[in-house]
Amino acid sequence: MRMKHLTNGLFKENPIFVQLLGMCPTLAVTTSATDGFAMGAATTVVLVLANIVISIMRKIIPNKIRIPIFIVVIATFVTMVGLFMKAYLPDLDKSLGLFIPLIVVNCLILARAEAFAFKNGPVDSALDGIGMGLGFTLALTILGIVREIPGNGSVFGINLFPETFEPAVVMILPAGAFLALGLLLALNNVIKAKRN
Amino acid sequence: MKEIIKLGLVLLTVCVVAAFALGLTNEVTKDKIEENTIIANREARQEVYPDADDFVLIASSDETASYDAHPAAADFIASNPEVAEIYQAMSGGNHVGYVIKTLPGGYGGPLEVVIGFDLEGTLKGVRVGNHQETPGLGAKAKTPDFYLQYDGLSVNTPVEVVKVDVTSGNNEIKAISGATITSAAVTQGVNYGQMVIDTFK
Repeated sequence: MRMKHLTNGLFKENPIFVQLLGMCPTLAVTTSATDGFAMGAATTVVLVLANIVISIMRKIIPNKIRIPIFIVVIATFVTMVGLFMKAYLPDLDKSLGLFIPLIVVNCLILARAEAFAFKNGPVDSALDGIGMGLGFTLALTILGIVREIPGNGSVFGINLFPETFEPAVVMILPAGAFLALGLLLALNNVIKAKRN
Repeated sequence: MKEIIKLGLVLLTVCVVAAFALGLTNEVTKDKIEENTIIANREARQEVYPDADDFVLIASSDETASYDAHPAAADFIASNPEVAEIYQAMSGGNHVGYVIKTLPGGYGGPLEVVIGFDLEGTLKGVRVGNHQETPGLGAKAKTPDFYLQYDGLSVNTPVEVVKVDVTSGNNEIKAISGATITSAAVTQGVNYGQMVIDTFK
């Protein structure tokens, strides 16, 4: 029964492909598979921690000020993740550092706090956070792969083509983010329509 | 009224706890972060001047930095705002050249260019640091194909940017295709070299 919370986020309610939440980091950082994956992982950490804390505090948080409290909790965890990354993963910080503060305004985290953690226990909320986080990471990584292969001729930084390959740079520019996302959403809808 | 005070107190408590957690994190990580920055900066200098074993800061646009400024430093930095830092490159205690950090304006804003050259003006290495150039175009300034072109050129006369293949023996580099502005910006940073030699020798 509980496993449902975990698997929901992966496919059925995938935050990107189904719920279309958190588009800003999705479009901004997926210029390579590695960056997409790392952004997803950082978001997952924040999401799980925020879900657990908010779930524990849900009985003492007055309804009227729940949103500011959610934001404080989320912003605190984001800052902590940012600082730890700067200290212990400086290389990752170089490529992602700029986008970490963006996690604060990622509506996925706020949406899970409001829709799930505020109404469920800490264990369920943690599972929900992990599931949604993995779904988000999966989607960002796929998007990164789909953009990096044509846009840079590589995947996870490994070159796939001989030197003569002329990459379609547009795919790693902002316009390419929309193109790739649109195509993936269409694909997702086709698969869903076939199933029904 | 009573309710507002109660809500305020709850919010205050949450914020106090959050501030405490952040303070603690900062305490744990700040030394490590500072160490990383120092190492990263040192590595950047070593990379553009591999023969040198020490770098002495002689001019900086950061007014809070503490160092022994060269007498000409303040005037030079004031009249060349694109030059951020100048180091003397030392080898075995002898002054052998310079490493400078410049911030010329590229396509997407200023880009960090670190340049190493000896006292005669022969370029030892050029690297591009933080930048906001277009991925796939200007961002290629960070690839060896581009920056290795500068090695061995001279800053005695300005390095030229050409769009065709360079003629060997000429003091020129080939621009990144589709990113002439970025290539020119990096070269502009490099061309501060002679001025530094003349001013600080």
